[in-house]
Amino acid sequence: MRKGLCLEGLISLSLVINVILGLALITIGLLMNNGHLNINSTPKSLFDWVQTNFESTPSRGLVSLGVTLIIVTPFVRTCLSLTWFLIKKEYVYVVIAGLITCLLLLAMLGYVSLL
Amino acid sequence: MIVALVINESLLVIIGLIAGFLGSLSGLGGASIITPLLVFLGIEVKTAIANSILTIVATSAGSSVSLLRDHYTCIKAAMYLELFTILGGFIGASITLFVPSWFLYFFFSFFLLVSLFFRRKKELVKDARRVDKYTELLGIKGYYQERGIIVEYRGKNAHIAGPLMVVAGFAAGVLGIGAGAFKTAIMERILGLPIKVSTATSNFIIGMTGLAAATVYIKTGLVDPYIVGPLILGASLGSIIGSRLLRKISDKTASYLSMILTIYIILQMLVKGVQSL
Repeated sequence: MRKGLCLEGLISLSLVINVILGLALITIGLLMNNGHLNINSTPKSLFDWVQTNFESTPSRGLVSLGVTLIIVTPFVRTCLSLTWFLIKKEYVYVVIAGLITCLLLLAMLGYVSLL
Repeated sequence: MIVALVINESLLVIIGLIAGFLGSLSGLGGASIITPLLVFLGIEVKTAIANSILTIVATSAGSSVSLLRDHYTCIKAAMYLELFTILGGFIGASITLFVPSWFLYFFFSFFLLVSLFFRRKKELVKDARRVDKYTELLGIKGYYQERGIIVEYRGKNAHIAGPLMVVAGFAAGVLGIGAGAFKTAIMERILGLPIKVSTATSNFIIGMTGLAAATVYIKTGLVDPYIVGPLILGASLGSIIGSRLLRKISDKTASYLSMILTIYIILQMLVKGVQSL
């Protein structure tokens, strides 16, 4: 059917890499954990959440980094799609993917919410 | 504010495993089961929602891989609809923080009831194949291969399907679930995509809604790596096992399982809602 390089193949490859890496980090972090340590914090963003957890304990940091690697997969694939549509000169989808990328980036940096 | 937990990571991995397994077997998705299970174990509903929304990104990513490779997922439809579902996700997640718990319990029950209705009425889909200019501009069309035959499809009514996705995203954000049945129904009935394409594309979009809502929940301090990490680990494994078993059981069995689970969850959340009044 569709031979060679395609957007679907690129996206599925990026999903596999992110999920496997993320699950590995979560597993290592959980195995390193020797007892709960609850921290009280209200992080400013997704990245701040990872940093705060690393400052708490390495195991907690690793788990949060693994979780983050997995949950940013939609962002990664949007960036891939944006590049793909730019190369293919499909400008309607360049605009759509660009808008989604900007929104997600702002959200991950903590600038989007009613809080 | 991180809530102290009395349950340990092993139990959370098992909860994730059960939820991922039953979620993929029944088509409900892991998060629809994780939230009620956490609530059942005594975790406050907002904490349960905040942590379970992150697990749907993992299960969505994991299960999208094979569907993408088989070209069932319509990436253009997904990108267009994600614009709307992200907005709904942001609004929904933000609202959850301000509404009382009893509202969330009742809304959860109501939404599952509506989703159950949509799932039962799939046969009412077919209608005329007129493509409007807006959908034509978006180029929502594609093809996939089934049993050696190439099946072509073409979308329609994108101007209606898009805004409706805000509602689906809102529900997902408020309840910490994928709202897959609702999204699939919009794509199948309004956008006119084939059921397999609708299901695959909905599964793909769910992860995006999850990320949008997760960025809001993380800022509340309700998301704990020691809760969400084990849940993701378990749910990922459970969904792999569930999707393999799904090929071996009949559609009827899967449908019955889905219905029984949905009704049980609705009743459980209603009871919790009444108790928290």
